[in-house]
Amino acid sequence: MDVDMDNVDLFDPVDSLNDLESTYYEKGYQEGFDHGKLHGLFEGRELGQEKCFDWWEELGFIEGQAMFWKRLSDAQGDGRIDSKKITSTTDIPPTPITPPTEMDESADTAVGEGDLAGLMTRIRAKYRLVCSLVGVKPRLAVKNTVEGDVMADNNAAVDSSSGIEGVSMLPSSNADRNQDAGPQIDSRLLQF
Amino acid sequence: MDDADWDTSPADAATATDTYARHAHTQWERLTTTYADAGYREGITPGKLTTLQRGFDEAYAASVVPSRRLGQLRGRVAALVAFLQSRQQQGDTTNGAGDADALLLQRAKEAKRLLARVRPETVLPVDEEALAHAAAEHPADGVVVDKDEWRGEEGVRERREMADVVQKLEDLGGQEKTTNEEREQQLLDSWERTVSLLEREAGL
Repeated sequence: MDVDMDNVDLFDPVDSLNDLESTYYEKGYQEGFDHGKLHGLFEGRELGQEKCFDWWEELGFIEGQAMFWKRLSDAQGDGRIDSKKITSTTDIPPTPITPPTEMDESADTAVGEGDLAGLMTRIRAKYRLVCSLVGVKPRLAVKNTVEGDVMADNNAAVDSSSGIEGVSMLPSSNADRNQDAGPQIDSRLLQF
Repeated sequence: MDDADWDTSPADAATATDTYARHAHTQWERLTTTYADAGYREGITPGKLTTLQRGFDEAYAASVVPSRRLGQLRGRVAALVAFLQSRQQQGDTTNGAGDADALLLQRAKEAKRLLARVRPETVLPVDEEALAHAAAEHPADGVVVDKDEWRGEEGVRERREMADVVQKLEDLGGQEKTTNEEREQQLLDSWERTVSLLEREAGL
C-alpha cells in the first residue's frame, strides 16, 4: 500500500504519548547508568584494595621473613647463629617472583592471573622450605587457593599457626622440628 | 459521563475540574515515576560494570606498596620473635645478657601483637570521593555507616582513631596538617623505625 508522506504529521502530539513509556524509561535509565558508574568505581576500588591486600600482605610477610633471615645470615659471624640452617636461605631474593600489580581490562582477569596462583604456590612452597630450614612454623593464610589440592594433606600442622598470631618458634629438638616442618615440603613445587 | 453532569452548577463544575486535574496530575506523576524508576533500576548495573574494572585497577595499584610494607613489617617482627625465642631457649646469650634478651623478646612480642591488630583500612588509601558521595547520599548518617556500600562502622572508627593518634603526634611536633596518605605513610614509617630498632638491639 502506498503512503502519501506529505500528509503525515511527523509532530503529531499523539506520537509523544505513544513514546511516553520509553521517554521516561530512558531518562531513568540514563540517571541510573550515571549513578551506577560512580558506584561501580567505588566498589571496584574497594574490591581492588581488598584483593591487593590479600596478595601483597602475604607476599610482604614472606619477603620480610626472607629479609630477616638473610640479614641474620650476613651477621652470623658472631657465632650465635647456626649457619648451616641459615645459609641455605640466602639464595632466595627478597622478592622471589613478582606477581602482577594490575588487572588486564580486556581479559577481565589479572595480568597473568593464570600463572598467579601457580606463582603463589611456588612462593609459599619456597617459604615453607625456608621455614623448615630455620626451624620455625610457617604462617600461611588459609585460603581457597590452587595449592589447596596440592598441600591440603600437609596443611594440618600449619593450620593451627595460620595468621600473624600463629605461633612462630623454633622447636626445642630436632625430632620436633622434623615432625613439624619435614612433611610440609613438596619439592616438586619449588621449581628452582 | 455522569448523568448528574447536565445539571451541575458552574461552581461545582470548576471544583470538579480542579479535582480531576489534581487526580490526572497524580496519575501522571505516578506513571512517569514508574517508568523512570524501572529505567533507573535497569541502568544502574550496566553503569557499574563500565567503571568497576577501572576502580579495581586504580585501587589495586595504589594499595600494593602499603600492603607490602605492612606484610614485610609483620614478617620481620615474626622472624625476630622466633629468633629471640630460639636464642633464649638455647641459653645462647653473651655477657650475661639474658635479662636484656628477655626484655627484648617481650617488646618484640608486643610489637608483633600490635602489628597483627593493624587493619587494612588503617594503611590503605582512603577513597575520599566515595566517602563524600556516601555522605551526600546519606546525610543523616554523618559519615558512612552503610556496611554493604562501604567499609562499615568499624573501619570508620578505626580510621578516626588512627587520625586522632597521628594528629596528636603532629600537635606535639608542631607539624603542618597532613593528608590521609601522608598519615598512612607516617604510621608505616613509625613501625619501620620500631622494628628496625628491635632488630638492631637483637644484634642485626
